[in-house]
Amino acid sequence: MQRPDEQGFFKNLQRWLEPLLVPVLAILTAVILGGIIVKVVNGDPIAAYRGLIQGAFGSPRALSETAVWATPYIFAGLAVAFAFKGGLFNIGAEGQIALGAVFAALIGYALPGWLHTSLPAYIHIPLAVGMGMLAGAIWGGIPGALKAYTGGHEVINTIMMNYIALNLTSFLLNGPMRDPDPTDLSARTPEIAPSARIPPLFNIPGMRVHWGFVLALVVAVIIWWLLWKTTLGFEIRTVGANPDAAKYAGINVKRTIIITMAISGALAGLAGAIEVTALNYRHELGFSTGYGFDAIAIALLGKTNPYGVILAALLFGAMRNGATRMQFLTQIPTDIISVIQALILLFVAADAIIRFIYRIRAHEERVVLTRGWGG
Amino acid sequence: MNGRRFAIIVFIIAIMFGTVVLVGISKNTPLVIITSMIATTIAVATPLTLGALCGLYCERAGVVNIGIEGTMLGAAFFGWLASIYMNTIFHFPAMPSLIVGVMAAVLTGGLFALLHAVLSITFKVDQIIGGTVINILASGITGFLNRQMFFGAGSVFHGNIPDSPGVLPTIRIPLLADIPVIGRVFIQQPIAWSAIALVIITQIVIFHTRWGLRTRAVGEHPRAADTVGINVIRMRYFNVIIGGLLAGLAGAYFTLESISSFQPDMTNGRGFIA
Repeated sequence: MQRPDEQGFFKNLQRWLEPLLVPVLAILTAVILGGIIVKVVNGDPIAAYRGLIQGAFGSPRALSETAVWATPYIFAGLAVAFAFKGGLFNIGAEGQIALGAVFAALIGYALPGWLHTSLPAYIHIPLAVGMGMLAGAIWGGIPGALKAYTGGHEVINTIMMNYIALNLTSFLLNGPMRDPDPTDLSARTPEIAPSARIPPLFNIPGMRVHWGFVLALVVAVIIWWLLWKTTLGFEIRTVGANPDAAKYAGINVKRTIIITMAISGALAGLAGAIEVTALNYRHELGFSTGYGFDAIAIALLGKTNPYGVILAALLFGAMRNGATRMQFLTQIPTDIISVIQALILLFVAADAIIRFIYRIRAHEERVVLTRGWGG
Repeated sequence: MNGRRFAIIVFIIAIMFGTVVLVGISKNTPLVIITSMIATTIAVATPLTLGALCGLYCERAGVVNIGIEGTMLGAAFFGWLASIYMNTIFHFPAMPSLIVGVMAAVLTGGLFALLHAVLSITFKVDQIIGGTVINILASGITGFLNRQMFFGAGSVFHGNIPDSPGVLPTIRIPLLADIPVIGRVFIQQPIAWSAIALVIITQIVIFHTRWGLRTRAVGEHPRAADTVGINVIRMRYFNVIIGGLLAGLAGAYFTLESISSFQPDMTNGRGFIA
């Protein structure tokens, strides 16, 4: 007699676990290699990782900070993952984040003055965040349009748009948008009006986790729904898988490319807008350095799946957050995190290496985990 | 490059030079301004030239390399580190340590390129992802080692950055450099000279040798190249590594020729421009 229940259960479990296997092993291998690097330069890897975990999960406050770090990562990771689904590579998240932050800050501090009235929060917050998204969407849409109509490669164009965006931001923050307060010496905007601020989740001092984190989770679900449950999502995925086939199936490939890049840019702009409206309350020069590239790693680690992106973003957020405590406790520089992240990205991208090390055969029904290191 | 495009580029450069001359005309004669501008331009353009050459070798062989940025950064750091080690720990005189530094930088560039080649050719990872890995890895590992080796616990240098052996000396072209005003253009540092030489060598190699023809064949139509008996994988490996060596030389420019110190992320996007 068969036992269908049990078999069904294991089959389901396997189906859920299998996509996780390579990323988890990639993370494990990267962490071990990172430990070896720390050891080579006379550090104590165990103490370092203990500090890292303590700093990321050790207390409610640490958890809150991890969520704060993860929020922009989720948005930016979704932006890159979304573009991947459409067969496009958005390296320009960095610039889109910066512009999203700048324009959200502009609406945040200047709009009440322009209208000569104070706005209620339920109008002001959506306006500021929406403006940030719009800026990101335009900045992402331009390379999309260039790709669609002139064939200009989106990788080159988004990189170039990054430079334009970052220098434009630098100009705006040093010039027209600079805080007029003469005691303020750094290049940053004035603080945004209280009505444009997204409140924190808990009203406890020191707990900075805000509603933007919840919004990030909701947006991830929306993106999943958009990609797999709507016509637009189907078109985007088809164009990503095979543009020629999509064209013959009657899909407007050019339009789809532009829409994909615009939505991707809007998500990145949202990352910047939320950072301004929920956390910093102003935009400061150079706050987003590196988000754009980390986002690529997150999107790949999450296998370009919105839920995978959430997990990957939480991991990266935890690592960034814990790194500060690690440096404080063991004097190991936080830059080791970048090394580990690069290694994770390397192993996830080249999963043949991981499959070789752990002797996993690709596309096999049963997952065999035999002995580890070269055993 | 066709004639019209060349004319447009010359026109743009002429306008830029003209503007600067007009601005500075009250202090100096136009000739002096133009000469010093050309001299500085050659020096500043060195890493861009070499980086672009690296891109050229990879691109011609059909491998997209956006890891040039990271390669240059890594080479800049390790070249600088090697020169300091030679000078401070092993007490070499300045000049040999600088040469060792340049060699270390070029070697680092080659190693990063090897990583890129292994990833993108052997493991068939998306070439852009491979480049991104290199960029993040280089930025992380140089920042980490920079802080750990000079400021961290157990640092060999006891927490302070030792004096580096300086920068490479300039080389004068004997007769040309003696021409009054214009001679200034002919006094440049060695990496700048080699960059100019390498541009010419590259032109010859790519377009006038068997190797170059094969490289272009591999890049443009790998299957056809394979059919006529060219080892596509080997050609790609070699070209990517040659590119990496060039990017390594570009990296050496930052720490051994331009200024004699290292700052995290000092290449600052020059690799992407290239």
